[in-house]
Amino acid sequence: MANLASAPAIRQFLPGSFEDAFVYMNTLVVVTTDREILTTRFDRLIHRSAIGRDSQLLAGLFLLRNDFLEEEGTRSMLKDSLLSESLARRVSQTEEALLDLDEWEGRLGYEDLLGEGTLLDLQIYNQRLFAGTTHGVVQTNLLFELDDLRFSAPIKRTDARCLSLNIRYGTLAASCGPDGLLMSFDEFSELSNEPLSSLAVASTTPSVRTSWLGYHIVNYESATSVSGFRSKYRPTKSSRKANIVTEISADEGLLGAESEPADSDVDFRYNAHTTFFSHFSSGLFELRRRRWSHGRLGQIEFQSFGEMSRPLSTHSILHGFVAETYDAVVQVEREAVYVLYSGEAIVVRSFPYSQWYRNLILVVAEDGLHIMSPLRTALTD
Amino acid sequence: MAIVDSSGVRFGSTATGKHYISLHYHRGPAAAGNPKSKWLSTVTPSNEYAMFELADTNGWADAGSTYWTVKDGGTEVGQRGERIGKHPGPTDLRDPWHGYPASPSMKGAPDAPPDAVIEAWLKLGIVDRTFARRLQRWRI
Repeated sequence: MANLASAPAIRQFLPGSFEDAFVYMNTLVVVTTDREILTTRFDRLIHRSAIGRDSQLLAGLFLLRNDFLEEEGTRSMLKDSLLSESLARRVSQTEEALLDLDEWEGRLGYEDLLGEGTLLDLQIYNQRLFAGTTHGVVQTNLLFELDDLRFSAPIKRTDARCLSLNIRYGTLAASCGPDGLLMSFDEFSELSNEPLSSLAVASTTPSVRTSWLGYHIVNYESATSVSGFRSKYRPTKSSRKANIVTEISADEGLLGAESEPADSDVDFRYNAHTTFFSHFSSGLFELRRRRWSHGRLGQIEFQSFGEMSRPLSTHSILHGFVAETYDAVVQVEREAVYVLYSGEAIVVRSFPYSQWYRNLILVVAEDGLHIMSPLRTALTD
Repeated sequence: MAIVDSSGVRFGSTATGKHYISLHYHRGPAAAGNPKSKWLSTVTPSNEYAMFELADTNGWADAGSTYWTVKDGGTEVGQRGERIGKHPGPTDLRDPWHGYPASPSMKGAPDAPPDAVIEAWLKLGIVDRTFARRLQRWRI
């Protein structure tokens, strides 16, 4: 990738042969190529990094409590350019630390949980692990007992080959390629106590991934073709929680111009709420944020352009997003693109909304798991 | 021995008796409004046939007799960045097979090889794990 600056980030590396990884409630869950699911406490792992004490303190802060970067006081302080430049320099000088793990705390055979298929996506939410595989979607409950983590008996939710999963607002959305978009509503029984059921076909149009536009669903039928589904939703009993989506229906007007037939030069589209990204075969990209009012897209709030290789996948973080290209993982912001990881990734995961691990990014590569926490998100609005 | 005619370059037969044609309309510069995917010039008609022949020998096909190919571990073979080849079987099995660059990321299910073919490539070291998983997830 030509002339892109490296993003200042705290980076750590766990060698191993992994298919996927996820951080949930201070637990690192990895799926290995030996078809095992291994777990360890995330803070214990980070504290075992082979670096000096000063850097270990910084690493601990950035990887275990980087919510501090989003606090109002921190953000005000980092508006001081001398302070922010100094912190960026310090973070940039911190080399990727090697993590040393003698023994995983939890170990389980992959087949026991996920069957014969190959893992295509993994999500953990509300103490449930959902796996999208070549043989369908499987679910298991995570049972935390003191320091022990166990898994309940797996439940098969569909036999359809599942490319990606999206869990939010009480729904589970499974993008199952030519089998369409399969969904369940009130997945976590926040509105009623109905028992779990199979995933139902919410749309027969193909689906490779979904994202959200407010409470509404944006379905990507391919890398460039997109359609909108307007949701109906209800509040939960708990006023602190977001509404629960109860049904969706196709709405051509939801995305307006953003769903127009793909420009033949567009080779990848993505949206994070009202920010729309279009990448062109020339290598240029356009980033456009639209106003959102009363469930409708409005005028353009900002528009910027840049250059990068074609993304293979995209992942939201606060103040931008992370894109996997063929030979790097980059952080895309309004004004610039920075390299987070140089190399080919098998899986990229971001955790923008976790209580403590804001913007934690995991990159699974052939050599192991790269864990990183970028600083730049704290320096941008 | 290859024979050039107005449709393409004809090869074969393969060890299993299949004939092949490298079609002219899947080559040359991309034309505006032409949806046909096109091979890169680095993939010569002979390369294209060699890819098909290897797939035929190894049985890298789906139930519909479409063969799937990859070159040099997954280098670009198509002008839009495609990295695999798709070689659909002819309606009349006496006719030649042909092929073109494919991408499940851009075209979805019709351009996605079966998991069994990808796993076979991985097992034989034809592609590495990164390429295999990306392809299975329709990212390339």
